[in-house]
Amino acid sequence: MATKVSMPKLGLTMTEGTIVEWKKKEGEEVTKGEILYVVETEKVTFEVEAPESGILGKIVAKEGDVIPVGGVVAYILQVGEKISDISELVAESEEGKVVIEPMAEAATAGQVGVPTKVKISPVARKIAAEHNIDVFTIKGTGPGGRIVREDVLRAVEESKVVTAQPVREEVALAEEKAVPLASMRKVIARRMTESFQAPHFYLTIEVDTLELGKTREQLMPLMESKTGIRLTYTDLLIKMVARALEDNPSVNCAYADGSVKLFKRIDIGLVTAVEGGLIVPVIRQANKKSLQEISVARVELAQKAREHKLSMEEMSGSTFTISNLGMFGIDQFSAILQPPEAAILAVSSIADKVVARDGQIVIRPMMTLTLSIDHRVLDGVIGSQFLQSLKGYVENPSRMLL
Amino acid sequence: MTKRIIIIGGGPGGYVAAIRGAQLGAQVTLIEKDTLGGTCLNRGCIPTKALLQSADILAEVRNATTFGILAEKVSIDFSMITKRKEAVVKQLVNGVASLMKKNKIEVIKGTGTLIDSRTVEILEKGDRIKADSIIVATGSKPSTVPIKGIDQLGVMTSDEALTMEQFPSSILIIGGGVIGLEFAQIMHRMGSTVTIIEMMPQILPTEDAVIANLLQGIFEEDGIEIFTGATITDIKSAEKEGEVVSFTTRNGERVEERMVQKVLLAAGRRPNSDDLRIDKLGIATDKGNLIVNKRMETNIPGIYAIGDVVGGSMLAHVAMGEGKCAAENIMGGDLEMDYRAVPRCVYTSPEIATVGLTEAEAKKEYGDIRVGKFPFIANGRAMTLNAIKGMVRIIADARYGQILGVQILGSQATELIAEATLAIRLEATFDDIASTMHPHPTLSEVMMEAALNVREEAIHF
Repeated sequence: MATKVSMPKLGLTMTEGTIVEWKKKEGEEVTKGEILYVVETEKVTFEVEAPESGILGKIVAKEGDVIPVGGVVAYILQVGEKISDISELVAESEEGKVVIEPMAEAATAGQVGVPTKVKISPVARKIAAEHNIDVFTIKGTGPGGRIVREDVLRAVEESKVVTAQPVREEVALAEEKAVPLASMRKVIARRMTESFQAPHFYLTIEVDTLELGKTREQLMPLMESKTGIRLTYTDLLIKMVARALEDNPSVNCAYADGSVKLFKRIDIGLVTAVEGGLIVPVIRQANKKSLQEISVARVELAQKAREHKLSMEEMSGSTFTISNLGMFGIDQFSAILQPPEAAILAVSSIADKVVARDGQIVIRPMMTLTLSIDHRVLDGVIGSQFLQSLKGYVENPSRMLL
Repeated sequence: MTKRIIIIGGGPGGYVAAIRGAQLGAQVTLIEKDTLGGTCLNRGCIPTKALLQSADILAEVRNATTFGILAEKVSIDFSMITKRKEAVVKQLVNGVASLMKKNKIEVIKGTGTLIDSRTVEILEKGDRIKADSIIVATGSKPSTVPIKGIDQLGVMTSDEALTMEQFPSSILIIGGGVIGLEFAQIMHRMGSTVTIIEMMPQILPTEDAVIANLLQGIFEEDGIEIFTGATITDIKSAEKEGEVVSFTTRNGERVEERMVQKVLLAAGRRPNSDDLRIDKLGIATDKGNLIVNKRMETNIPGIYAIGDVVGGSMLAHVAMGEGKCAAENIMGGDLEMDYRAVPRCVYTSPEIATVGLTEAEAKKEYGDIRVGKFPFIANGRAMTLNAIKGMVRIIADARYGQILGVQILGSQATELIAEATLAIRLEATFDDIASTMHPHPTLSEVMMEAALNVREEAIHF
């Protein structure tokens, strides 16, 4: 009996996934547990293992196809089975209401619990299909809520702002190295390109870390004896950023479909370098966690990230992101937004600098913080207020007690 | 509490608003100073079409030999034509009256005037009645133009033309719009010598030039004289009887004169708001048209206006649509008028019916467009009817194939336009019409073939 390979549900919020790459060709032998294909979800890519050993009989979802969770992507045949045996399976799974193809339908009607009928004018449907816009996401303004031409054209305009250009075109631009990118790199490429659609601007502030350093030194032995973890500046910054976000809740937001989505939760993403790229594990409810809890979570997530063991939940849904290159001696840099988040903080290294204090020349450990902002939803004043709050905590950590 | 609505004017806009209001639970009072049905039923659409039918029958009979029928001694009994016309009108007016009764709408005969945003006075009796909302639906009347001698005895408007006791032997019609053209053909068929003077460079100035020019050719072939771009200079009494009309032809090239028995002034219509005291209430107007928003409400909350009195397309079906819109909004709805799919009909022979944008308008708005055409002569049913004159044009945008405008010149065009109107309202593409099965043999196949022709894939052309 041939085995169906279906789109796995990799996270609670996952409804569909894009096939990024097939690691095996039709007719090739596969072993259970071997990497069969790479799927990309909204946030990350995953390598999916073969559920069974056998021959990869038929691939029904091509690279680039979007398949709903549970949808069949391929069939694995046992020795002695023929490809023709699959047709029965295809028929059977159609009966079982698992969407196989055509893919266009899967993309529009495949979502679980979504109505399959929509009031839409013929020309509006045509435009939506041409631009690959999910008609279920469009609000109709025509007679009786019908989706009309204008509604789709508006959605097309909006999608140009938010969504990325196809990554394959981007790859083609890099003529010198026309090698296919690894799937993680593809996601990064796509999402960074996507990010560049957002009109960014940057705010930079210098902070004095003398007090922060003292605090860290005081707490380090305590933390080490309790948890065995070495307290980092990053841990302190996560705590302080969470506090500054509480003070300035409007910074904790995202741009979505023409509106601002304000988050109540404060979940901080931490850009983490791993072999072959970057991932962003998330420290949940950072504002409600103690410094100790933050340290423990950070160490645990970093460990999993290095071992590629992070779950989908552990690396999606951050509301604000910190990118820290301080340990690499970077004086200053600006980070690219993590869409749809509206802000990201770039943290550079701490270096002794000559500064003026009360009219005197003194040497202080200074650090540069740069906030990148999506100007569609946030303005300079709000960003500046956030940085001022953060500076207040960094330069006078006892404020955190208030 | 039951909502009270007063409607001033019982034409197609007013009585439809009354019925819709009543259906939605309002207590409705309709004030009409003359006869229910307004211009449409009494002095417009209906009586002219009744006359037209007589003229068409006459033309058919005269042409009967084409079909192998020999008719002799054909003559016209004008009083019988008039009687039939009046019977049709009367039956329809009575029909409206019984609809009012059925919907429990109070009908008051009199002239309504506005006292404030809640009160209407019946001028004749001085009674005042109150309502929560008022709909002004007082319609329009024929325009007059400042021409020397326009008040001569032989000059009439469409109102008088419909009460004539005899057709004139000769008539000059000022205005080559819908009203002028329809009367021109009726009278020409009934034996009058007809001259049409149009000021603009084409007849039917708001319609596609291609269609307008085709119709002008057909009229002229029949023997109707047409001058476009011409201006009347004066009208004088003739020595014996009738009038002498002088006019300059295109660009003032030369001066011409026609001695005619009657002159018909068909230079459009203007809003009728004389008795309303709109100035006193401060209702905003533009050249006499009451200004309304898309919900049909004037600048005075609670006072709505619909139909010819708000200008725009002065068409009965537009007034009906606006009447429904106003009534629903009064009863708590939130409707906005959409004028993208308003069909326009000219009851000439062959008929003209259009909807949506003209080719020039479509080009301006959408840039790249395509035109699908199909002639009636290639349609089987048209051949059997001997109705081979005319054509259909479908204007579609090149990018998505959306149907932007349809123009039909030909037999039954006014019936065929309904499909095109639906297509435009639904934002259909030409493929939608092309791939829809149309019954054979019917004239409606011309729509399908013209849609196929957008891609130059018509089967019978």
